[in-house]
Amino acid sequence: MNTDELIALLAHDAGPARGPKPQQVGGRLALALAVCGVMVLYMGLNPKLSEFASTSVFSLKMVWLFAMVVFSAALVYRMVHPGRQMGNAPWAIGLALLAMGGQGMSQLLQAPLEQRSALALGTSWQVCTLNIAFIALPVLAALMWTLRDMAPTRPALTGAMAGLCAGALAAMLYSLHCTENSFTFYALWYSGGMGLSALVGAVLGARFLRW
Amino acid sequence: MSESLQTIELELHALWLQAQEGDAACYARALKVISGYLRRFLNRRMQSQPSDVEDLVQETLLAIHQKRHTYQSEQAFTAWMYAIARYKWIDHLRAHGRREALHDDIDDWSEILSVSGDTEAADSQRDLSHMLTLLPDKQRLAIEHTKLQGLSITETATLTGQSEAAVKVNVHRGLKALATQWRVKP
Repeated sequence: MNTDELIALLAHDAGPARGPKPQQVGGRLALALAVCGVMVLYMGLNPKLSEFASTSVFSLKMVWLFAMVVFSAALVYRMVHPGRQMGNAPWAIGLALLAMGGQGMSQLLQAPLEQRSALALGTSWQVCTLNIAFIALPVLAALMWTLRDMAPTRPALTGAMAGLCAGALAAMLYSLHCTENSFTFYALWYSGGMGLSALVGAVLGARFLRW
Repeated sequence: MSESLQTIELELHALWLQAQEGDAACYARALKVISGYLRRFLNRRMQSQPSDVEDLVQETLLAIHQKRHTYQSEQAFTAWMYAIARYKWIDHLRAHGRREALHDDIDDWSEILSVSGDTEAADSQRDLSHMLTLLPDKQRLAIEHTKLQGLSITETATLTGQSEAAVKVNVHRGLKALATQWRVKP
């Protein structure tokens, strides 16, 4: 085929571009979040949630997770528009992770020796990371579906950041179930859950986000 | 020497925005100009596979067409266009081995050697008529009549018994299907 032929062909399809519709994207996300909600309800809400939710530990954790959602979403948005720089978002994500890591580390070091393993492992360390990564799957699927219509020039990295975003959202929901209250625990296992979700996102991205 | 990026940007940004209003002639002109820059960009980077250049020019043009909603008007058009070209080029390298990447450092003088013939449209190894036969009839007819026989949308509509809106939709869907097939080697 001659390139001029192709151009003539494409010109027939001129006109404003059609991207994914906001309502559609919102609908998919809402559906995914509803599924996540059901998963958390199935795991069971923290019986002392109303008490726990008013503590500063809980609010700080939620602010941290919300910041992770916002920063990673901002990064994904830039990465699916070709020619856009990544900007400050990678730094913001790194700083947020570092802040919780530092907080967890100092809490661990200030505690007496015999309490340290309780701070780091709590009672649910075996399941926390996997649960968060598991809850993240519906959101990750909804995100991938939308991102396929965009143009990520780094499919694996974009998938990873979408996974991070889904993981952070999932962690916020998981917080309604989780009874752990140490920063050390969050820094280890919540970050682990988001990281695992990012890993899944990277694998899926390399496979499904190419265009 | 090549034109400066600012000159290209000035030329393309306005042309592209105008083309997005739906003016087919203007859009064809924009794509024609773009294809010239793409050819130059890819020629420089694919010295050892010159036969693949035109394939990749066409694939990139198709990608630019299908992903045009990802262009944000306040953004530099050339940044967007070259980001897509670069992506398509790297994707091609991944599929065909990485040796070519080693040649990128002789960019500067190879550019001088490959200037001639840069903007000449050429044939790719893709066979349009074969790809068309793989499409559903409605889409194939819509594309064949509008493109290959040069009929207008209205004429095609009367001839095929589809509404004008349906012809447009079928051309659009047909192109989308063609783009998918593009990635499968002929």
